[in-house]
Amino acid sequence: MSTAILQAAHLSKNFGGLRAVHDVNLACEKGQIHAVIGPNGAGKTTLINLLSGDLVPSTGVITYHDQDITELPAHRVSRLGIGRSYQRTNIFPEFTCWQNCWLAGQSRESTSLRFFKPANAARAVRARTEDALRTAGLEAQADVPANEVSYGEQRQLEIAMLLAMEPEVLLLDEPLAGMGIEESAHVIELISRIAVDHAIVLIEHDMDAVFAVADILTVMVDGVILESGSPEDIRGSARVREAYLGDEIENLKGAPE
Amino acid sequence: MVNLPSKSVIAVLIVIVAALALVPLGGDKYWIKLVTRMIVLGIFAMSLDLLVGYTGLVSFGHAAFFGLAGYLLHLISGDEAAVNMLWALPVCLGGTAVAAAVIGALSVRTKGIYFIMVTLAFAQMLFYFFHDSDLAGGSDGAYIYIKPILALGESVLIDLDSRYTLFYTALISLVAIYMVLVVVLRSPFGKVIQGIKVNEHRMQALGFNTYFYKLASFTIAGTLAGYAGFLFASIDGFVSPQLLGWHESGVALVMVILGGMGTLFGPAIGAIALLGVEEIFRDKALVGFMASHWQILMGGFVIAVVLFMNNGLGGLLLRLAGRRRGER
Amino acid sequence: MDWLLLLIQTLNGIQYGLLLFLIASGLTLVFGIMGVINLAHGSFYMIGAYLAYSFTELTGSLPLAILLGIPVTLVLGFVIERVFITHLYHRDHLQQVLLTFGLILIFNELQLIIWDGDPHGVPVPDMLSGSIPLSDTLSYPVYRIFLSLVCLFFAGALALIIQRTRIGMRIRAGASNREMVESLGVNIRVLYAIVFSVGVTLAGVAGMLAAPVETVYPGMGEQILIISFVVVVIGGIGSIKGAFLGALAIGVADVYGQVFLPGFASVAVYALMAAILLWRPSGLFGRGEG
Repeated sequence: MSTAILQAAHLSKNFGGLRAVHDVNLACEKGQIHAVIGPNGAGKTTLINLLSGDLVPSTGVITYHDQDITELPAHRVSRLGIGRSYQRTNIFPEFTCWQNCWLAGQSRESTSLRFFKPANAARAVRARTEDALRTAGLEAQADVPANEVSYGEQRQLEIAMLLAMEPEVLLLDEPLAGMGIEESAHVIELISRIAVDHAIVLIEHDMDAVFAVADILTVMVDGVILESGSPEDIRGSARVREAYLGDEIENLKGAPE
Repeated sequence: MVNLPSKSVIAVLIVIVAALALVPLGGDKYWIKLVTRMIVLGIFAMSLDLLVGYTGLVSFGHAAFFGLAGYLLHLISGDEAAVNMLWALPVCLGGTAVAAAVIGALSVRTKGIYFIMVTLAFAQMLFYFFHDSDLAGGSDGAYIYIKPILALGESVLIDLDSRYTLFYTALISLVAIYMVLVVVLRSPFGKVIQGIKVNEHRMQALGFNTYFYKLASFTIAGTLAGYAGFLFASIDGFVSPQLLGWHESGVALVMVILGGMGTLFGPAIGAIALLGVEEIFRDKALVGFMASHWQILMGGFVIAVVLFMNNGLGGLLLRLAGRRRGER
Repeated sequence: MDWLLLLIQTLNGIQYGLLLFLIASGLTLVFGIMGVINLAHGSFYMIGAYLAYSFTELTGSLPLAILLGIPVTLVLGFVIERVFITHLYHRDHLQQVLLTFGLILIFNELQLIIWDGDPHGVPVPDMLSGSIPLSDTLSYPVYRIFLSLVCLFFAGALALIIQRTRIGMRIRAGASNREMVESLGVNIRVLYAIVFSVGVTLAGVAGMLAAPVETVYPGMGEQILIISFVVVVIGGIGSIKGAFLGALAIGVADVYGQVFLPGFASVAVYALMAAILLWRPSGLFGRGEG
């Protein structure tokens, strides 16, 4: 019996004649970082969209704690405890970082159909907001409008919002996109800390980061899974090297010749 | 997110309200009626701002609810005695709320330009319903012969037949509704709809059923518009299909933009300003022969407002006063 | 059930639908390509009808009136685009709607000044004034058939131009990527001005053609505008095919509504819209919100 929290079986998504994702299987356990890598156009973001409920699969089944969630819309999936971050920053630009996280924190309340501010709920939301900002290292920017912080900080805000949602599963779509070395290191460290009691699906192009933190790697090319396994297996795989990693492997720290 | 206006802006608003409160003391029938209309349309405009400025739903059919409540008042009013607002108001508002919920349930499924067109179309449907049928006077309109009163037992607390009572009822309503809306907008619900306006997709990803919240906002806004319509119908004791029409809806949007979308108090100022501008445009002494074709001037004014006054009067006021820092 | 009467009503519905298509296609063209919603579109329908009325009074011939009316409308559309619409391209829908609303106010008042508030009729040209007998007592007006054919012709021409020609390709490209098209050396300003004036002239021509069968009266622009909106909502923004099917559906629904639900006829159209929206919030062929 697997301990996978989130599982996808035979997932496919067609757009007209285009096979964006075909027969993909994926399992993710608590405490595990499952990285999905592959060249652009491999279908990685489509896969995340399928898992998050933004897209409905053409075929296949997605289960969460053995519950079928395949047809659920995004907001239901999110309420269950599956949160995602976006490759292209998807925040509330004119709101402050605090207000951005607040909305995320508020989403966990049983209902927001409250027209007068109740103190108890506010305390809980406040706690989530403060924790999220602190964990992501954005306390100093709390009262700055999100469209006025640096790009790297906006990417951190993406993650902070995710944290404020208190999800069990995190779907991270290229969280390091556009970040500098120092910021990337900080975020990677953050991700590995979170991974301890969460299940994480991570899409990334930064190979150093991926090989540093991933427990399992799945390589996708042209919408199908090329190979899936431990970082060592993938690093040593000739097929993967040929199809995707190529020269990048030589540049990896500690890569075998 | 909605911040409380800064102290200086609140001071200006208080001055405006105080100035309005003094108008009836002048005793001029025409002015009292005119300013009552301004205030009631101010309530109407504020309700639209809730939709447009805070939820991001541009409705071109908001007058449907404004007019509907007036028609409901006509339908329940008899020739014999005044209706008691104690039950008449809930009935009219309830009916309007139901209509808003039904129309909203269908309209809110659409987005952007579709939403604008759909709300326009549904409002037209109501317009034709009252225009073509004999239910309430058809295209000629209908009268409310005796204005509503608010009576508790034997004592009459409010009689809208008195222009003074109507004026102050409207003014107090305006202030009260503004304060309630500020509270609502700072509540969890208010935060959600503002989030929807900025990034609906992300709100869904965060777990909010945005359809539901938009529908709630639409219904609340429609009901508030109905309250304004109830008062408006009581001013002249007359309702006509024009009150539901798209011209009225368009004018309401102009008030919102003129006053400052998303400022809440702005649209109320916009309503006052727009009616004031209309008075000027209709005055031969001020514009000469154009007064008989004042719609051209109004059209030009609307275009000018769109092109040059994007943040509206309210936005201007906020900028002059300096914004409050981002609140938590 | 008198089948012949039903046939006549159906033909009327189709004719009305084709007329609506002509108007709606202009609207959807302008919105689909330029991203501008023009509330004053209906005003051009009205302007077309009134031009047909005046020029026919002047020259005694409707065809000549239409020949005169088309360039006038094109020029007017061009001027409106250059002076007003051009400011709207980077603005949101609310501002577009309000600015064009202001134009309606001006147009309506100008119409009252130049003409008057009375309804008018335009005589059907002699050549087309006959009727095709369908039975002993019933016949169908030739002019309505002519009208339907003309609208069909425009539909076909539009489809061909958009799908097959280089101009059509540029138009479709302009819709998706303004900067890219600009960098190709296509003058977006000129393109948009042409698209807009052609778009509103389609409405104008519809008004001119419809003048003999509809009454020419001051509010006619708004009435047809809102129905056009319903057509576009049903058919889907930016889709000519959708506008065509939507228009036919509305045309037939409206006419049937008047036959079967007298008194509540106008509601039939909106009920149809509501039903379709329940099923497809982006319209039958909509690409979602542009």
